[in-house]
Amino acid sequence: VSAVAVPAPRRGVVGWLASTDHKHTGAKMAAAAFCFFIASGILALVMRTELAQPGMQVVSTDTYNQLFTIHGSGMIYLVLTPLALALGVYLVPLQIGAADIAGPRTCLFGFWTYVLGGLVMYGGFLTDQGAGRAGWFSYTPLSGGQATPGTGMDMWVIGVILATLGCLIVAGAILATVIGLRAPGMTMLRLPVFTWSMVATVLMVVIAFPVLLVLMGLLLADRHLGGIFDSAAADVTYQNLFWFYGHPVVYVMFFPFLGAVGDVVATFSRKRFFGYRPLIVSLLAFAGLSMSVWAHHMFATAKVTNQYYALTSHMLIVPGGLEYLALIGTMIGGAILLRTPMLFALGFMALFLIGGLTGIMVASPPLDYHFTDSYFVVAHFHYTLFGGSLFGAFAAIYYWFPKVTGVMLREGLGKVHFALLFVGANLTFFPMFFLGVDGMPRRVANYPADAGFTGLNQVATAGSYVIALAIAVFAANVVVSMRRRVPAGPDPWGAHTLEWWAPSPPPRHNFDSLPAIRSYAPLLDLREETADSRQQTAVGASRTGAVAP
Amino acid sequence: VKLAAIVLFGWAAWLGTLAAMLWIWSAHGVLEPALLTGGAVAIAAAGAYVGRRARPAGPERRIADSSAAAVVLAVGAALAAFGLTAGLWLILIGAEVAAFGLAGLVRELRAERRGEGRR
Repeated sequence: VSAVAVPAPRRGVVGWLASTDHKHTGAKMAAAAFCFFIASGILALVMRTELAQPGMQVVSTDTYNQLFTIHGSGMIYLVLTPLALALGVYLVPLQIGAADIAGPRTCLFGFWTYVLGGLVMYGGFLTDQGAGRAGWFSYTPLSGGQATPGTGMDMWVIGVILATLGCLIVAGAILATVIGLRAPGMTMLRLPVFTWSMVATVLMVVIAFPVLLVLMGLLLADRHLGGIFDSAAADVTYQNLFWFYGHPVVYVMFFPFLGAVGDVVATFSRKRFFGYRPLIVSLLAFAGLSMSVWAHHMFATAKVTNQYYALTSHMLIVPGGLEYLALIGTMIGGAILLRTPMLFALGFMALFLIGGLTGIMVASPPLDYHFTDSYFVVAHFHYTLFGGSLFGAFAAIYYWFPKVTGVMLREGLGKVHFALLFVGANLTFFPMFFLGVDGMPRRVANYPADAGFTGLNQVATAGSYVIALAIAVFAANVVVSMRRRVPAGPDPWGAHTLEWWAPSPPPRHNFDSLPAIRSYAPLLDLREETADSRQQTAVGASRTGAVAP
Repeated sequence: VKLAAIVLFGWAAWLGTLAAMLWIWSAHGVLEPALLTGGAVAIAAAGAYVGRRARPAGPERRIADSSAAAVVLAVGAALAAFGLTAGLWLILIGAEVAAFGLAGLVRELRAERRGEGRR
């Protein structure tokens, strides 16, 4: 696992842009995802401002269509998926004791392909007819050349192809790293929880993402040449192919953050992870099941096997429940420290529970017929992806920021950030459940003044500004912490996994030496061994009458 | 590596089981079960590859510090892809840039091999 000395790294912009160090690639990918997050978040704020009142005040309906398309596409293709993979690129080699990622050049190529894809997608706003405006799943015939003409829609398709290709390449590198570059002693059954969550994630990526690539290629060809998605049957085929990617990607955006929360909960409970092996089995079972539930997004078409997809969707409750059991079991009896990463982990557990429970409702075809394409679905997936994934992402950021930068984030600002984000998320998304049940359709720029939707929409809009404030507090925290640096040291949390053995930030080759690896938590093993030997020394000393140190 | 292959085979078997259920149940053509079966077969093939592949020999691995060629290749690929809507001229420019990137990659790899040969 040791690395060979290489020529001194290139300095300056070119050196940074072209660095193959997996830590640089991971950090660049996370930074790019955060930039796209801000851009896509601003689009959401404009949408929420428009929806605060009935009637059209801020944007036209056509612009609104572009806003929700690029907001959704941005968050899924350019923010959460790449952010999840960025964590893997940075952390997986460190957690398994490797000197680098497998195929660092390939990984760098994947990163740049993703970034350029994002720029192409956003570049659609600069074209005459605006950006893509057929929604993040761009069903045919709406996304066809006749219904949505223009270069902006083409750029959306090309952007999706590039971003997805980049993520697929990066995922392949992560999988190859886990399989081929583990340190001596780091068997598969000693991988940390986060690394296992990345394994489950990249398995889904390598199956699902190629299907989207092919589909987007076909859509682009159809837009220019026609003849591919011309029939009603072809539209159902499009939906089948899209959701074969579109459902697993929800878990691609969720599992890595679940794994991060697992590491955070174990560290801040001062306890070994409860039910490590059942959790691994449940993660893999969950990932497999999540590949088989895609057509529950198509219940209303009556052109898929509803019974099968309802069954497999409900089966997700079992591994999901096991994962909650493992997290709660880890906390029970632990000496819980409520630091900022732990607060975000608890927020993740609370909010994803709401997303998961409402997921059971939309997994039932009779209920889904009512909820489909309503704000209920919007609320459900925002509790899953914002409440779940984003809170998990912030748990991960606060937890690993000291490792990445060598600097601690401010606890006080972190807690303010958490409180604002928790309140903002619930204010924004909880009213949407009621709006959906009352019949407000999603993706509308306007609603009747007498429909009774105004009050709840105003609450949701106020909540979205609270979220924006929370993100501003986070940005301030990063700036303040980087300017007035509080050094973190190699392991500021008393963590369990191998990345905390390396200095903060880790050197180019990650490790000068490695401790003995006897479990998924080598650092905890080491501390327990040290405590045991001290205890034995003390007992021995008391027997001989000596004073224990 | 063997356990990694077992994990891949196990996961492929799980997907295969779910696909078998869908083959039995599906009344809407072959696309749905075929997609899931394809996924299972792909993962099983990856498992077979991993199981037969030996772990990389030797504990040391040479690490490239930077690769401008990989960035150039990505830019070329993106330009060529953008050319699908902008026109043939951009596809050609993109292809040219990508060719430069590929040549650079070959150069980098050769230089690395030469470096390893000297050690």
